[in-house]
Amino acid sequence: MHNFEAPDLHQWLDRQNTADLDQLPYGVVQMDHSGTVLAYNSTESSYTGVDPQQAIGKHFFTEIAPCTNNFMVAGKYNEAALDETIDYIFTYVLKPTPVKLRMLKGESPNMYLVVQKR
Amino acid sequence: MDIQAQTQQMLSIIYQIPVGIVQTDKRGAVQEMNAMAIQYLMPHFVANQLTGENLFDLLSVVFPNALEALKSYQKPSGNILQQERFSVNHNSQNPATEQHLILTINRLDEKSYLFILDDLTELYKKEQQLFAIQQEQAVERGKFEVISGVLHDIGNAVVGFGSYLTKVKQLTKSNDASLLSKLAQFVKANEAAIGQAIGTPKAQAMVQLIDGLKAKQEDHTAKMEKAITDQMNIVAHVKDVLNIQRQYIGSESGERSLVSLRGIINDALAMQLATLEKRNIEVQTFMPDRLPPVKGDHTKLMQVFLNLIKNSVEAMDQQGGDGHTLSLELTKEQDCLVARVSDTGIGFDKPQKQQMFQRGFTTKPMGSGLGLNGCQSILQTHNATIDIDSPGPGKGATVTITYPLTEP
Repeated sequence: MHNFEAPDLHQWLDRQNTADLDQLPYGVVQMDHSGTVLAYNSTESSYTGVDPQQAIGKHFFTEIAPCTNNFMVAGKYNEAALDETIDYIFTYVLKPTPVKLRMLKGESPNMYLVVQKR
Repeated sequence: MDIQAQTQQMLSIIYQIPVGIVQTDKRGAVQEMNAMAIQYLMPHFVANQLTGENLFDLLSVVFPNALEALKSYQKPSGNILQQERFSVNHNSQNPATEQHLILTINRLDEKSYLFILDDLTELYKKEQQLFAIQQEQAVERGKFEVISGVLHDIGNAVVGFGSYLTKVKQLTKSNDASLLSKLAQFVKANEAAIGQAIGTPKAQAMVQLIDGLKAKQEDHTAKMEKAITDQMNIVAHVKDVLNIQRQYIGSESGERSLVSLRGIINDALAMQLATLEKRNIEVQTFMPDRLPPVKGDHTKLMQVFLNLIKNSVEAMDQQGGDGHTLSLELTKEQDCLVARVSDTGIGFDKPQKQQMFQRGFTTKPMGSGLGLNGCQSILQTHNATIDIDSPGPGKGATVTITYPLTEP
């Protein structure tokens, strides 16, 4: 298993299926390049209270996590290639949770938001 | 749906609501925060090296007045701040990233505060644009006022100049030529007597000299009269140009009252009668006298018809020859009054028509080219339309004005 900081995390995540993603100790949101959610793992769901079935097929930055819809997160994904980690705050419903976000985008058709509690 | 599910649904609505909501304890520690609040505030927490756990820490930097109001608030609960505007920028180097937010603070109880935030940046930008446009318009208005003042002054000067020229012209008529002519007659009648006194050759020379002087004087007078007439024509042309310009710059909201188009056309025709008679242009009118009045600006409509008649006269001048006809027709057609001004002038071909309503278009060597475009502008403000047609070059033209009887 690759950890949150693994340099080749993006490539490794691309090889995991939904069940594999649910085993991970950190949150993973898999999106296509338009920002539509393809997979939303159970750890991510436990952080946010959002049911994976509710999330899949929706636009992540506007419909699932409007808290990320600014230049710090959503804006970053306009870049062609991205691997950046920042401190951020998520909320479980309304309870703030400090998190680390790793934003991944590259040649792969999938892009990721990887979330770890601080 | 049970109470818990309802609560959960309510909470997720609050989470998604497009307004930032933050609840803190009495020391500013964030208890609850929705998505929009994070979206708005996170960049500013980071820019100020704050963790995002305490809102007072951020307020003390970005909106210290709000924090002071909060701290000096004495009541156990109530509204502390109501939609106060403040601006923040997470990147002070770049004015484009400045955000304009409004903040409401309510004290919920002795232990907690509620903060409601909204982003007015887009609105603010639009406001700024509007302000810039208004300023631009004010400058334009200022320019118009200056231009209008200058035109007015030039107009007055031109009128003064014109009347001065008229006076000079009259003065040239009472010249010395008539006196010289009387003198010449006197000398001729008394040539024999004068000849006895100063000798016949001298007397003859004197008669010749006086005749010469008289001829020269008459020639001078004729030349001067022609020069003055030319000047007066130029002055008249300048006056025309000024009048047309004034209608653009002058008051936009002219007086609107019930007017008779028939009366206006007749007045315009009367003003041009001398010009028409001088050129032997036959005038035909067909205007029934029981036509309803229309709402409009009398002066401006008069300018339209004067312009049209002048245009027709010029078109017939350009065509040359004799036997020209100007015909004016005013009829009621459905809900409109339709006026037609036709001439037997030079007419035009189709490609030329395209340009005829453009500002500055002219076929005349001396024209200002404001004619048709000016008429169109005036008529548009009356909800009326203007069109011009010609069977072809050399075959005359007809201008048609359609004026609605009921205003929309």
